[in-house]
Amino acid sequence: MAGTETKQNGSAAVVVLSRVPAEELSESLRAQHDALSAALGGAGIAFRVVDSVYDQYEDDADVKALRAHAGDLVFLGWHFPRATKWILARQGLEVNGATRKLHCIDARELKAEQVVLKVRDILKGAASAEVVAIRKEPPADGLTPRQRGELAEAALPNPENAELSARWYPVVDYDACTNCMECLDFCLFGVYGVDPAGTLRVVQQDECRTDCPACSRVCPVGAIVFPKYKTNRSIAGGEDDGDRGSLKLDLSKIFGKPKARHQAALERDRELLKAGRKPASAEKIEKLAEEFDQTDL
Amino acid sequence: MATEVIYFEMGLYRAALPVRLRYADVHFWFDLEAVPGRTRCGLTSYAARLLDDVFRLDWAVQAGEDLGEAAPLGTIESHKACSELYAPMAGKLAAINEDVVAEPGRIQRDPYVAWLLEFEGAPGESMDAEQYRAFLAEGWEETQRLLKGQL
Ligand code: SF4
Ligand code: SF4
Repeated sequence: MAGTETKQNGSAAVVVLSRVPAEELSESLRAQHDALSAALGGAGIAFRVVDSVYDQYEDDADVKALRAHAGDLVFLGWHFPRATKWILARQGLEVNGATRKLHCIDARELKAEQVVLKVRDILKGAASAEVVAIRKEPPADGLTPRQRGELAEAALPNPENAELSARWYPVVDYDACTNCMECLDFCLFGVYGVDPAGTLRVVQQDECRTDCPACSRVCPVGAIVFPKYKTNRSIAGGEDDGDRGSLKLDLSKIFGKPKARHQAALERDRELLKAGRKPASAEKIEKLAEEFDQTDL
Repeated sequence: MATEVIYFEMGLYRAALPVRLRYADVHFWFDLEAVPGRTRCGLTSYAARLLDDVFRLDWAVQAGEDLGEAAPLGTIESHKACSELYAPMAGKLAAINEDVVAEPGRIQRDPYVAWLLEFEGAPGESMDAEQYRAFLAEGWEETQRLLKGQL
């Protein structure tokens, strides 16, 4: 009986704990992950462990299983909640569905006990009318994801073997994106594209240059999130304090990057002007250049 | 007359470099044949691509001024970037293309037609298209680093 089952499980939501991303070298994050895993177990909360969803490809097992799960999801990850949400969306999960609730928790800045409390609260809330309503409308095959065996609670067969290589790409926050195409226009590497419906998409994510968060500053509405970006919280999907760095590139170094000899000419001209004389002629500069080339730098 | 062009690959974008022009390292092209006794210059398609849609061109210099090489000329601004511009050659500034000042978007649409300045005489030093392409290739990694570092 559905009602009883809900009570036995404590909730209809599935709790997912992400592993720390592969390239994250910080031992303390790994320790945090282990502590959290232990605390959830100690609190009797069933959960599934998945590899970093950001680093997986769309046909990797964890991503497939998550996609197949239609119900509520409590996702404990190592990015800002907004980043996690759009990573999941990127991997094909319905994140703004009317019938599913997605709770993303950033486990980095919370103690294991705090996370457990949060999860408990969410699970309590999940036993509410809303979730029962979802249960009343079972998926087409009439089976729950668990019955279909898609979301077994066991961890992956051999966690130690799960070696994912680090990836780097933007995810788009479609709650904010206005489809203006500034990013598509800006990126030189073809990372962005447009789907048949005319919506901006990240189409070649692995073309993105590692650690280049450039386009996130070009987006007028701050919709581009680089979950792994370390030095700016807004770019990584944290609270948007509006500080994404100056919006305009200063290309003066490229257009003005005078060669050493030009630089010398420039300085020379300034001195001449200061002295109330006309700038040096081309001949003088040639001579100056020769002198300059002879100086041992 | 078919204009021969070579290309520099900027990621997915190919910057066209007409072979008949000469080039300066500050990303200007030189046309020595457009006006007798003068050098006409403008920004290369590489520069135009970096800047994108230019909407403002603000010259701090006037026709008739004697300019030293690499003298500051003014600023250029697009939706995504801005830059100081520096004289690609030394000499007397003979003319400023006011049409492009009035409609700077032409720089991106047709960089080799939208000339910016004319100088009296010829540049002391310049590169041909092949040399300019090699110069771009040499600096490309650093340019990308610079763009990333800023952003
Ligand atoms: S970060 Fe750089 S390479 Fe990646 S999508 Fe943005 S502009 Fe393109
Ligand atoms: S620049 Fe921002 S708002 Fe515009 S299409 Fe790209 S992500 Fe969307």
